[in-house]
Amino acid sequence: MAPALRHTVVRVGRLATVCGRVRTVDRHGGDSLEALLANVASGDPTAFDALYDRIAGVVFGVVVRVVRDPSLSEEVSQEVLVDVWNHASRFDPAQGSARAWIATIAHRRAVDGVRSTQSSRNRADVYGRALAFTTEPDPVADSAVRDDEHSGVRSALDALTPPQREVIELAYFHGLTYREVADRLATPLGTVKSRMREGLRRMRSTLGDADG
Amino acid sequence: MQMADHDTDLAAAYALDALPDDERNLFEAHLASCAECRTAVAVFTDDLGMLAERGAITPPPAMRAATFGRIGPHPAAGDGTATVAETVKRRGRGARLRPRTRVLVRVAAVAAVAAVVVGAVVVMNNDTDPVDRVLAAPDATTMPVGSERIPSGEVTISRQLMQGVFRASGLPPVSAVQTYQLWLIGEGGAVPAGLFVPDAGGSVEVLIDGDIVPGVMLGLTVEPSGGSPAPTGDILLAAPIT
Repeated sequence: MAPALRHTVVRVGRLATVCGRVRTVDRHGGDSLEALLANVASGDPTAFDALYDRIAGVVFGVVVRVVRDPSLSEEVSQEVLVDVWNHASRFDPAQGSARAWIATIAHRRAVDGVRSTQSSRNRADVYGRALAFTTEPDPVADSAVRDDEHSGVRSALDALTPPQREVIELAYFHGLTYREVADRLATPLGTVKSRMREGLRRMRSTLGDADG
Repeated sequence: MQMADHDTDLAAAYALDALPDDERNLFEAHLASCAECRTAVAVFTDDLGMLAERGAITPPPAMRAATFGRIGPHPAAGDGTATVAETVKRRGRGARLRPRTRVLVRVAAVAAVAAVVVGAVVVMNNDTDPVDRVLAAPDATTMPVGSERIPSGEVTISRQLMQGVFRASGLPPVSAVQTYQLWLIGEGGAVPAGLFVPDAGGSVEVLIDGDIVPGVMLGLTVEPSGGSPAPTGDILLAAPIT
């Protein structure tokens, strides 16, 4: 195929995709997150409005559990949502759910924030804080833990063995790398990684049962 | 670092964002060529997405207005260049995006025109598109550029215009927080030459952001979103293009 012709074919393919999205605008109430994201990608502000209502709590929940500081969590959550607005076209339904995509962006940004803050602090102090997190007197964090009891986060974590729970909490909720987790627990790297994997697998069966 | 293939332990640590930056970059480069690991990551991130749903916390009411106050013109609405440029700038990745190669914006512009005009002819006959200009140049020459991981690439260059277009299909998808980044590799090392995310079918067609001078090579890596000032991911492709 001649380059110019092939180029045109590519373009037409893109247009078809775009036109398909345009047709789905309106009536966002019953739209899936995936459909909302597709509409956001085509620049529909009302879709972003609906998306915000659906996902802002998920984003804020992920961020607060990592960042813990309430005002910083709000700042990071805003950045995540602006990212979603700007980059919705990058979402690929073939690679997973919209919820997972957005939660991944939220967690990555939260962890990046915590790590850059930590680098300017005494690391040992941060580790200590991480391990003492269940008694940390932070009102938002406290309310997050209280919410966990209702939301099922705590029960999902309770389904893990204590060693699995420990590595997942230190990594996912406190932003430590697996190497830092291994150092802190004086446990071999391979053991830490396999506990993470087995922990996630076990958590899936718990979440899956109740999530439908 | 050598990486064992299909290391699901590493996939779990990656999904938890528990890899140090250097290992994260290595694993992301591995993901670009390993469907099994991509599947493992997708499953783990889906688990964590379910956990996130369970852990939703109503944000402060003021966050809504603050968020909407921060969203700029959408990349898909008219000229979104400012938004994309500001995003890159804010992230401080040091990536430079010249106006003629903003892939996102180019795709977005197509979307905007299609949405408003619903007339494909207008877009297809747009002679001012720099990609079209290169492809239609009288001295345009096309050459295959390939590697084990990127078997299908080709580059069309115009020596007169000193510009080139990179095309490929079957590219592995990147995660939500990654981008492909092109590099022009000359005597001075690798210089950023544009970012792109393939379409859902894994295809891309993008202007190479930089002057095509004799002896230059084209490189391709996977980088964190926003790009990097120097390659951090595995070199997926490095081919002479002149």
